[in-house]
Amino acid sequence: MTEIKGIGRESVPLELPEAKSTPRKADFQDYLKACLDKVDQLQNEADRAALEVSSGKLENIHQAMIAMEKAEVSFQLMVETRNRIVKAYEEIMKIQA
Amino acid sequence: MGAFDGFDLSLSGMDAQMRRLRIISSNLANADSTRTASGGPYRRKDVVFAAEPLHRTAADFHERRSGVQKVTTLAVVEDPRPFKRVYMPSHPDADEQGFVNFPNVESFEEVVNMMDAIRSYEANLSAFNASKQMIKKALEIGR
Repeated sequence: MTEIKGIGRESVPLELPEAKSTPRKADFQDYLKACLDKVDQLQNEADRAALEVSSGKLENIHQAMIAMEKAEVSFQLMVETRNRIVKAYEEIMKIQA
Repeated sequence: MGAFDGFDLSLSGMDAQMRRLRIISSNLANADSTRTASGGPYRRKDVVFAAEPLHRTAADFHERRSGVQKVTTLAVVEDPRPFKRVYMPSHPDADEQGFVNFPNVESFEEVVNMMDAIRSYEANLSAFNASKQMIKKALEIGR
């Protein structure tokens, strides 16, 4: 049973442009952080678009609607990712019990 | 290809049709304008659309392989058709013979174009909704 590898950081070799400045390898935390930043950015864009339409700066309503749809979809993707992580975490916690 | 490319393509189409409708509205509103800032009566206008790559900066391999192109408004051109000449001697814009040049706008033609613009807008909207539906279905994988 000695060959079973532990669930270490090196098991998730994800390369991300955001994490390249740091010398250490990009881990799952960085990946999640990048995802969250992107979702946050899309949410901000949707907010701004809605504001600009109502203040008359943006010409087309459909631009705001599509910005909001993008925000919604990316948010759902993030929620799904979170659900998978929590599921995996719970499975791992069951091992100890 | 990004995950939201379908959204952006439909957005460009909706933008284009919205712009077209604006020009049609302008034509209809000025169907009887006999005077403009540039002199002469109002001339009917048309929009010219052109296809262009979705991402100009990333003209990379993937872009060329996917082949998707969005639509942009290239120009607004004036219709060269002759003005309508109506005999109205009392009109301030009448010439020596008593004729007034009226814009070369045909209301029924504009209305047909308007319906076409609305249908095209709806088609783009349907494409957008289809893209969204696909993404939503993808999010259900493994559930």
